[in-house]
Amino acid sequence: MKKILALMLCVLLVAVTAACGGNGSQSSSASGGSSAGSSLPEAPGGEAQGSGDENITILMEVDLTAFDPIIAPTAQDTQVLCMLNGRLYDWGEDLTPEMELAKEVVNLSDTEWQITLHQGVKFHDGSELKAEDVVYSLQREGGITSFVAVESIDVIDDYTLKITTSSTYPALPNMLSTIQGSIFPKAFLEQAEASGDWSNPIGCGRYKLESRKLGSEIVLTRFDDYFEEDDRAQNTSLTYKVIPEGSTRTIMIEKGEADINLGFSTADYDVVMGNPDVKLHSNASSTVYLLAFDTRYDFFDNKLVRQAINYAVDRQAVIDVACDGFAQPLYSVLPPSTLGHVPNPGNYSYDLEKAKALMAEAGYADGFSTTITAYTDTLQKVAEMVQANLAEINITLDIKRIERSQRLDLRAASQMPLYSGTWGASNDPDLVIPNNFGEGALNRYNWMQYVNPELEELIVKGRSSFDPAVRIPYYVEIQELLAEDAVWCPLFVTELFVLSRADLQGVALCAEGPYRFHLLHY
Amino acid sequence: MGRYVAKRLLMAIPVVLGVIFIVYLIMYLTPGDVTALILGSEWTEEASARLKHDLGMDRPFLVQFFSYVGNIFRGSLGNSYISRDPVLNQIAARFPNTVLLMLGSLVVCLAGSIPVGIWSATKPNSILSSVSTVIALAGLSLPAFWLGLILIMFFSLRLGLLPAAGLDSFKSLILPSITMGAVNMASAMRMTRSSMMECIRQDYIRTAKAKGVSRRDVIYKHALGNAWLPIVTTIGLMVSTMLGGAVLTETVFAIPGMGRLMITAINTRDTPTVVGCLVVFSVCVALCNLTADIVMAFVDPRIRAQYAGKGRS
Repeated sequence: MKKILALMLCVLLVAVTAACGGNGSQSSSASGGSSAGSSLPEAPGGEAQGSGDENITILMEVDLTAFDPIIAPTAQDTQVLCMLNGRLYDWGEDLTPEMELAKEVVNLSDTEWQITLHQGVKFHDGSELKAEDVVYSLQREGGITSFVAVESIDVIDDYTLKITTSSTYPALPNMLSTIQGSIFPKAFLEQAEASGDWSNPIGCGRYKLESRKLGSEIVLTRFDDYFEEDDRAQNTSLTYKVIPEGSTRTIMIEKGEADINLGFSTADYDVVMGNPDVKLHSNASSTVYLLAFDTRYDFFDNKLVRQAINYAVDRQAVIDVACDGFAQPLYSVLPPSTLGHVPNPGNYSYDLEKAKALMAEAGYADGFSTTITAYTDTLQKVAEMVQANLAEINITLDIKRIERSQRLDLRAASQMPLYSGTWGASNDPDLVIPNNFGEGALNRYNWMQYVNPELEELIVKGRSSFDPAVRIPYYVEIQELLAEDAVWCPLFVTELFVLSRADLQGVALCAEGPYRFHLLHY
Repeated sequence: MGRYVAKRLLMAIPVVLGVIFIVYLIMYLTPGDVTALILGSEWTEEASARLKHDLGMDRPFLVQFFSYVGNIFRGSLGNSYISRDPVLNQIAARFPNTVLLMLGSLVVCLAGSIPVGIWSATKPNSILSSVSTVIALAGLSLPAFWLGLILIMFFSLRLGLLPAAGLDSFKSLILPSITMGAVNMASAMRMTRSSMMECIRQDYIRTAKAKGVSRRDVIYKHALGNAWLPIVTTIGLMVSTMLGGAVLTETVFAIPGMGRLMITAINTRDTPTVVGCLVVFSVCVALCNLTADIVMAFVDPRIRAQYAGKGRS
């Protein structure tokens, strides 16, 4: 009897397990099928409802690092701090700087910027924004003046300041629009820097801090005295909740426990596409995935080998494996979101025959062995695909998984012959090219140890004018030069995804991600 | 007993110092430059050197170590390299959540394992005994990560009964407690079962039955009373494990606890936070073991007499 019961139990267990298997209830075919590209079909939405005067719950993957923008460099930190803090410039949908606290900007000369502030701008403590607050904020150690060619920042009068650069620097507004350019009251900064206590930050943004639970949530309430009456927050408050697990975030949006998920995992794509209660928004990002060659190695100092690898890597296959197909192939060092982008300056394509011919011409028909490093799970997948691709041209890759913090040490010890990494590109190419390819970046992020006097000349010319029409041809030339020298193998630009409640209005995305949360309402 | 407790507390100090030394050494020797993570794209050699000096990282290892230990005795666990916030503040914000999760899991674990373990020992060949063993082993085998997500999908998304994440209310504690409790249920159940079976076989149980003592008193008064010792030991070890091993449950249910704090600190080479967390864990483990010993003394008069008479462990 007991044996029969045991057997029945086993059969029941197998039956239950089998019933749990198979596809989910949603079908991806109804959504159009294709999973690549930014023209993604959206899940059907609902009708707008509500007064627009409510709390918006925003889900994010990691907690805010710190309220001090000098210590908080991540994109997710920016999404919180840009609501608290004002800057001289904000950024638009294409990352072009747009004046915020700056009312008028006049170039007195190629190196002198006179900035007039809006009057009557209130900080959260009721004090008024003055030029000395701006100057003190921008001169903080580790801030704007630490990495920009700024000679001096001077107060002219209560509402006017002058920034002097060491040379023509058209990217200054872009730098001033970064979160490190946040403006605080001088008195608050003096006290915060002396005590190290940033628990009650005072900014002049559209929101002020209501409360924070470490590791859990941050609540911002609308600042009703924000200086631009027409652009005040359309919701009462923002609650940022820290939810590390991607599936949990998706479930919370589906359930209605939250309004918008900043870090949507593409693993849940099929789950959400059939759900009419949610809406998936997407945009091409400014994050570039790339391979970089350390030119100190014998084989990688040969341009033909580098070009061969550019031909041998099947970018679409890498995208399909590493990003579930949600990315755009990239053939230039500048992504589409950056001024002067050229789609394919080197006319590269996936061409194994051409790659083999170049390897033979370089004297490496039999290939060689080397190491590729990866410091995230996605880069690990990239490395695995590249390993398979390069095996076709007799290059044997050993994949070495490292920690992000090890990169500089390994580069200094010349132990990263082939580096797989990412870069968050700015709208202005002058913030991309010198930092990655310039001689001044040899001990920083010029992983390739690349030095080219012609490039240095073009960099100077590219920043010699404020007129984009004058600058763009130089950056086209730079991209063609770097494509020819092939010190990078650009791979792809990722897609950004944001999941929201279907009836949530005002969702705005830029290449940096979702922003302008003050516009969110029902 | 008081002398014994004081002695045990004093003995915990060198243990904690030893743990700190080992962890500090490991973090010191681990390759990688934390300033590269902090400074990001603004890293330069000069900025890195300046930051290392500000954080005290350019001092010799032993100077850093003894400075840190000295701060501990002054009530400070240092400041996080990443956020610059006091480590004590970060731990104080998260430790209660981990304790709450641990207590909830313990309740689930004991409520599920002890009655079933007792039943299983008294009726070893019954169907319920077999089924309960299978369920307990399933709880042990299923990854906490997977179990947690399944519970969220069913109870939160499908039925809408419980929240999916957070620790805002009693209802939000239920699913994480079940997730973590299920993992530990098997070992507690097995220990209860084997301990009870050992006691049931003793002569005094046969005597009690022969005297006509009720079955209920035989099991719960005579057998269970003697079976508690190994069960208490197991619970003590389980509590220590739950305190430090909740990171997966905390991640799935977005509970801001010590596990997540430590994993994040390890990934970002935030030595003060890692060491601070381990100091707290070490003290907790020492206290848990001491508490288990004290409980055993109350449960077993022989141990109580031993402590009282000789004042030694």
